[in-house]
Amino acid sequence: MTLFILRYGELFLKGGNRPFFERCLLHNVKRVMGPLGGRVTRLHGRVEVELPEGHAEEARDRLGHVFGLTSFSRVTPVKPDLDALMAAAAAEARAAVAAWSGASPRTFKVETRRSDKRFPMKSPDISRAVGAAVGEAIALPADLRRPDLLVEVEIGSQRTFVTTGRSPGPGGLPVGSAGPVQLLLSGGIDSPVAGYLLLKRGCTIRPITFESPPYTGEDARTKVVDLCSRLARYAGAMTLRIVRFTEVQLEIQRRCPPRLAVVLYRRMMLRAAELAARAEGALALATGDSLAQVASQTLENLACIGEVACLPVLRPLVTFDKAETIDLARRVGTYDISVRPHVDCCSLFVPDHPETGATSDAVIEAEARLGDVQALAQQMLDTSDLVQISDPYANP
Amino acid sequence: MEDDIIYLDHAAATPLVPEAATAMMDAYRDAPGNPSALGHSGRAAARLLEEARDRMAQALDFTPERLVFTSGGTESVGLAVLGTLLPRERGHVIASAIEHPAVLGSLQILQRRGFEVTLVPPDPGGVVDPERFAEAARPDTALACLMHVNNELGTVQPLELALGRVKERAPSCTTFVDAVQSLTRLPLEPERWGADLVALSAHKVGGPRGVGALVTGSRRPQRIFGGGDQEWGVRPGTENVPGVVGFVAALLAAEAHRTERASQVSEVCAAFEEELRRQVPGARINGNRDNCLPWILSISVAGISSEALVRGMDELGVLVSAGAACHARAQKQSHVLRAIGLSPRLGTIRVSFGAESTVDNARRAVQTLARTVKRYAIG
Repeated sequence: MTLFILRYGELFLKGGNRPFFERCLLHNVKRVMGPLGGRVTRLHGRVEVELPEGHAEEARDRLGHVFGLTSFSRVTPVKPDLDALMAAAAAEARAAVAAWSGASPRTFKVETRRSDKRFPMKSPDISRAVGAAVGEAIALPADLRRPDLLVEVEIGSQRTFVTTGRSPGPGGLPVGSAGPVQLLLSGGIDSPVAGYLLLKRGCTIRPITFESPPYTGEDARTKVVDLCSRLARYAGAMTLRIVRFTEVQLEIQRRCPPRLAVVLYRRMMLRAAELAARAEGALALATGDSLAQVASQTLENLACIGEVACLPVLRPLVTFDKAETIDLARRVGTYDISVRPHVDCCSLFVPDHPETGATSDAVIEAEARLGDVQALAQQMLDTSDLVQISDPYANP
Repeated sequence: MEDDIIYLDHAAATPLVPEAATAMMDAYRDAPGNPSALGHSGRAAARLLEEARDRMAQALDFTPERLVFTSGGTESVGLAVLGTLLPRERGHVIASAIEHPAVLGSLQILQRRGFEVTLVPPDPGGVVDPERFAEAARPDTALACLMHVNNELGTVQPLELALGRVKERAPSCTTFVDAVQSLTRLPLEPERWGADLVALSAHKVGGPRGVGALVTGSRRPQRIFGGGDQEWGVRPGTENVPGVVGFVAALLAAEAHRTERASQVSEVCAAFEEELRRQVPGARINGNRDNCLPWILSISVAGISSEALVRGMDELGVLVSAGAACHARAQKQSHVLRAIGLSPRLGTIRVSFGAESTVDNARRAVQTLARTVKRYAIG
């Protein structure tokens, strides 16, 4: 059996709502650990996962995708008894030194947390005694300020253990604790990262994407599906809504001033997304917009685009530099998918000199040539496809 | 192929003809051995291979020693270009600017090694002027490459004039012709063309993918990778016996009907062009049609992208390609269309006919093109 202890941070701030957040977290841990045969239980301020042997590496990867966790450790359970603790800590430390990657550790430290006050020694005394055993076992000096190897001893009323490896969790709040958001997802770099950040703050996401076949192909659709699958590691299964944008896009091209085309596309997309959001109960819309990154993202244009929506439009990347977004996209694992060379409808028929200061008056006048824009948005939505994105962690 | 699909992408790949399929199944069953093995099953495979080589040589009217089997057109080209020049320290190469990427890619390898390459542009009709081509030749020109039929436009290049003039200026120059698109559609006449090496491919003539040949003359190129002494040591590696057998069966079947197929395809192509003028009056046909093989038609339309045309027609059951299949996914303008000065803003498709194409299919394909343009073009 393999035992993991998971820690969560910000949830402590939640006062009376803390049980709700903990329940969400527990549910999400079960989502990724259950298929590995994991048994998940809540201890005081901790979550414990018991796994059958052989899944430790996979478990680490999965736990790295559960928002709300600040860190987690694979631990060795021990009887609450000093001799047993000393022996277990020495063995753990020896194994950790043997498995160390890179330059060997030069110093160590033992840290003890004793929440079960029935244990007869105080924490500093336990640390000293265990430290002596560890020092002898690995023949290294202690360094209490900046140790290379940290040996942790935890003596709780329900569980006593030692551990040497603490992995950072992804932080944030448990997915599902904040409510659903309709995410306008393209095949680009930014919008998947926006989705990641919303998941990180506890939202669930309802991805909606637009395509313009035959100008865009099957490859472009596959790319968005793959992006969703990547986000589903954090979010679990989801439904991707794919909206055919061809006819509306062509109408805009044929009837409206080319300078305004991109702003008009985005207004139509936002309208359709809001209709979907209302139908599905999402509380907000979200985009990958970054202020002034491209012509359609000047403050004037963002304002002009955003005014068609009544729901709040969340833009998690609004102050991000492109390099920061790319960096995050690489860490989330969406970057390599986003840079596949397939045209998506956002980059079709883009004029050489797009408007950077669209005004409501100009845009409304242009839209009058399209007829009833709300009805057009509803038509697009009525013919959209729903694609089920399965949870990549649903199987071992 | 499904019945209701109209397949007009034969320049990319032709369906396997039944003669080839049968011959290949027989070869897989009867000669499972390695032709280099000593046992009886190896001997049977070697016999099949040599019989196929003899039959192909006979059909094309030259000796079997001149046929080197390869894994396809690209390898044949690589063997011809790299196998001729890599043994040398330096040298000069001329080629038309509209050669297949297999040729241009091999030339890039040579350029990186210090060889000089001169690319001769075609005229706006997609035909290389023989004088202009020959003028690029110098006394140290070691290789001249000119394709027979261009794979995107269908234009036939003036091999005899161009290569003849090159040989006058550079007598020791090796001449190479990529005849992948013309095989079985026009006569294969290396002597008349003045070609020392000719590249061929099976899957453009109803044979299987993964087989090709290089026709050599007195000059054989050197091997470009090591191994056994198969194919006179020029092309090491166990021979693809069933593939070769399939290639030859397809080739013989097509050669037997060359004249009647040519007139049939001319009729189909004429019907297509006529219908196109009626249904899509704004469309232009690229390439000089007076100097074109009717099997290939390059068509451009304004207001729509090549990809949208191909996908839009595909949705309606008509398969064509954007430019050439080799770079259809790359979504940049082909070097051939650029070389004839075509605007990258036009959508361009390549329609290529085959043995099973009919006048009725051609008309229906044009109607599909017209519907796609009407529905999706802007302006």
